This record gives sequence, C-alpha cells and structure tokens, in this order.
Amino acid sequence: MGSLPALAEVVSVRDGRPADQLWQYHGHRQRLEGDDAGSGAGVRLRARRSFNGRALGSGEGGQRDFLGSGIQMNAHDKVIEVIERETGCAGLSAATDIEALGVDSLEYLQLITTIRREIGEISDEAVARACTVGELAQAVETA
Amino acid sequence: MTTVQVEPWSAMLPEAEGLFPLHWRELAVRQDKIKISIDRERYAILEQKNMLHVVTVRVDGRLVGYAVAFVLPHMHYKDAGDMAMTDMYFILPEFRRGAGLKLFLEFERSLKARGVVNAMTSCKVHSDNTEFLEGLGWQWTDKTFCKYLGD
Repeated sequence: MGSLPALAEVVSVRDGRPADQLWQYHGHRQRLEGDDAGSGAGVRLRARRSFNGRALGSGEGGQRDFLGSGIQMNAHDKVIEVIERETGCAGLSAATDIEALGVDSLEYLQLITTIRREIGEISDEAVARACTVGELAQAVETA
Repeated sequence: MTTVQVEPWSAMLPEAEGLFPLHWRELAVRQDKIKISIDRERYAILEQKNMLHVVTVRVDGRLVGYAVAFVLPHMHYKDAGDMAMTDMYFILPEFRRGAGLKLFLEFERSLKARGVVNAMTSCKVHSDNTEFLEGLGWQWTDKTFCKYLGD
C-alpha cells in the first residue's frame, strides 16, 4: 500500500460495510475496517488519509459521499489535496517542505490564492512563516 | 528551514557582501560602465537615522536573500506619513522556490508595522516580476527610464 501516492483508509464505520473490504476509487485504495453492517444511505464512515504510514489528516462523511465524490475532508486534507492537484506532486505529507514543491514565487502565490478561494483564509504572516505543507494547512484551519 | 525577518543593515552586511556581486551581475544595467561599489558609510548613516528597512531570507541561518527600503516622509507629501522606496531585493537563484513570496509578504507586513503608509518597488524589464507584484496587490503606476550620460 505504501507505493500508492496517497491512501484514504476507513478506520471505522457505523452501520457500514463488512470489515476489511477494500475499495479502489480514483486511484486511492480505501480500506474499510469495522463492524459488519449494511450499505444503505446514511452510513457514516470515518477515514484518515495517510502516506507511507504517516497520517495526513482525517475526515468523516456519508457513504454516498465517500463512494461518489470522496469523503468530506477537513481543511488540513483539503489543503494537501489542492496542493497535490495544482502542483502535480503526489504523496505529499504534512512534513513535506514547501520548497520541495518546486514552485517559484509567482506559482506559490497562485497556489495560496487557490487555497484561499477554495478552502479558507490564511494570513500573509502565516504564509511567510510556513515552511511545510502541514504548517500551511494548520494556518488555514486555525484562521 | 527558510525564515524571513527584519534585521539591522549592519547585521546583514557582512554576509550580504558575498551576495552583492551576484545581485549586480544578474540585474544591474550598463555593467560595462557602472561597477558595483557599495557606499557603506552612507548606508551606515541612514541606518543611524532609522531610515533603512531590511528584511532578510535565511536558510538554516545562512543569508540567501534580502529586501532593503529607504523609509522617510515623501518630499511632496510630508504630512502623509512615512513612505518606503525599495532600494533593492534579491534571492540567490538556488533558493527561489517560493522564498520570494515569503520575503515580500514579510517586507510589506513589517513596513506597515513600522508605520509606512505607502511603498514603492520596481523590477527590471529583463527580469520582469510584474505578474507577481500585481498578484500581491501592487499597482503599476510608473515607467522608469535610464540613460547613461557619462563618456
């Protein structure tokens, strides 16, 4: 599993699917764990995204969301997703150095603008201080 | 780790001496006629008069970039408050992966914090940062022209 760029691992279900059922969706392997249950609407899934065993964040969503458009993610996860999408870098973690993204200052500014538009406010001071993807994401969550 | 911070000119200068020639080589015009020769005495005077504003970029403590501005009331608008005229800014090419944004954000924040109400900066035609500066909210208001009048 570590060879995949990013993983969304379901760590618990309530009224959910059989335990240990593996899903493949949008290139992300999603491992279901938890008690056996049905598959109807209203199923709640808790998931955490991780890479090479390092947690990137966690979220919770309904099964329909999970299977259709991806589990609802917290701001931290969304920031990583936006950065991965905009930079083409896969497998980012909170510890990834922003310099490792390989963007110049204009591209970094455009990335920050996208994060502000799609996720939420982040102060100029936080951008100036952030050295890692995780610090940037934390700044969005706490804004 | 990359950090940006306000520093005294005199604290930056010893390390900056190694960057100035690289800065000049990359950005200065008419290099055949005008050679780099930093006026350390006058910079020291400006520092004493609190008319210099310096923000540095350091990577693991090593100086890799800077932005310097002259800060004083404008001769035409002395009642408007302090204004900043950018003297120079530079980052070593190998450290430019996003550090320019950090530098400018801290440059703006710290100028505002010391009471500057208006700031001016520029970029070379041959190293055009217009899109970056406008993205930060700077307004393109002037065009600057140079003509060498020496022999």
